[in-house]
Amino acid sequence: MKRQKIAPRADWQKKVESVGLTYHTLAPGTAPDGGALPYWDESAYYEFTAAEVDALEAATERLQEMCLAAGQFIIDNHRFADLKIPPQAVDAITKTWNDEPPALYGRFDLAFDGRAIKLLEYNADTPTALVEASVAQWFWLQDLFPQADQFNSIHEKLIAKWKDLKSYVAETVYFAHLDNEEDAMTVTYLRDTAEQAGIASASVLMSDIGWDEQKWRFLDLEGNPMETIFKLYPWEMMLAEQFSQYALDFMHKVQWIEPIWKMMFSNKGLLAVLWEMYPNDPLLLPAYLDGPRDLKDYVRKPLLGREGANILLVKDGEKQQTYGQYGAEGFVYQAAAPIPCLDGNYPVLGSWIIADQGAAGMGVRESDTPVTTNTSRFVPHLFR
Amino acid sequence: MKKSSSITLGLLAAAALMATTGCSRRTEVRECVDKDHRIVEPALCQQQEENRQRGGYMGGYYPYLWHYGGSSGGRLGDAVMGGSSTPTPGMSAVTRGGFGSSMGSAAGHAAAGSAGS
Repeated sequence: MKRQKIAPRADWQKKVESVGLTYHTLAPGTAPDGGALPYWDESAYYEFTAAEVDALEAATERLQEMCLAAGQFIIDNHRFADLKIPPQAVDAITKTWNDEPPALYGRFDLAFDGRAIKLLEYNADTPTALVEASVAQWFWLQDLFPQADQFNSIHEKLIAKWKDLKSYVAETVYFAHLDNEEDAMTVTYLRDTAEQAGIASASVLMSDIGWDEQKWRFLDLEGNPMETIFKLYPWEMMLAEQFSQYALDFMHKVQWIEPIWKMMFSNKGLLAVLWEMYPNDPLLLPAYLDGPRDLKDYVRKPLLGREGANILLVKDGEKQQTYGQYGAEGFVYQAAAPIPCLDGNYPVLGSWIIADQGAAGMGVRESDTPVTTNTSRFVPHLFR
Repeated sequence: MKKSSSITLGLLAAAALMATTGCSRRTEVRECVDKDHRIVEPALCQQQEENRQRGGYMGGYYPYLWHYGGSSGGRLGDAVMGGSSTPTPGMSAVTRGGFGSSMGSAAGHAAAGSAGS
């Protein structure tokens, strides 16, 4: 894995905007001079070998198998309390796990130093950076290196997955999200892939989902019942909100994508469960729920943290900390990963898995520190 | 090859065009209105919904409505013309706003309110 510097394309902003990446620049004030840092950064790219990509692809497939086994382990051993999963959600998690309603995708975040691949976490419920990984970097490659290859068949595999789901979902499939540009474009892209598979779709804000108190069903803004809902909104937040009991009590009336059993995977307690099941596995880092134990260098992560918030990194006796609103639910303690530093940048690989389609591609996000946060940059990649 | 052989964009390209030309309207305008269809503070509708959820009896009289679409000046007291309100006939018991409150809503990148991870 090499980091190669390159001149950005002329008008790169317009180029990525035209393919959906309209949120290519971070908020004003993120640059030292008070300006805005780029989020999409094509002043460099990551170059991999075919052998490295093969290894990353195989690791992704294997991690998915391990996580599926961990899901069964959590259920069989009733480990929900360890993951601070609310008791009222347990029946729904168990039932959907057994019934296997539609699931779509997930993203493993991996540390890779050119040799070892280590799982950092699994974003299984609401993974983003999808437009960047699937679309924007593909068009970048076509513009600059059309003869090179890229670990990225996310687009084709999403469409293939929707084609598989067409006979299982209730159309119209609703895509629910918050009212911000990144989430709106992400669900619009997912709608695009569903429509290309022949599935009728519509967007709706999470706050506009209605509850019919007479007929006990969720309604869209026109009063139509919503029977299949993709939601770019985490289950743990849904369960803390006003409609939570309706969602749980009437789970049989709605196919939620992702299904509620994904709460077992999107919870960082999964890392400790995996280590317990597969101690010393080369794809895993030691991880514990009850403290760092004998780890000298470790990362303390909130079980339900997002975008690098509330992370404590202890390395060589020194502490680095990020702040935020998470952590009240508890923490997992994971050995510090061997994230390489290339030209002052720390890359983390986001490896996508599409349900039943397998490992589908990856994106690279790099940061100025070993902790990936919401200001980390997306950098395209290729392999030869 | 491990890359997609081709990528054709439909909805996403159209949404991107609208977003970058300032024509984007991702969501239908929703206003809290009184019985005369004049805009009032959204908190009045939210409070009313919460009372109903808690089983609070208001004599069957709900003075405020969420109104979707239509046009208005967008200021408190402005009349809303067109659009539609809930509850509509035959659907008098639809509650909205029960999801999406944990992260609020904000424009911009993940730094400002994305629910993604």
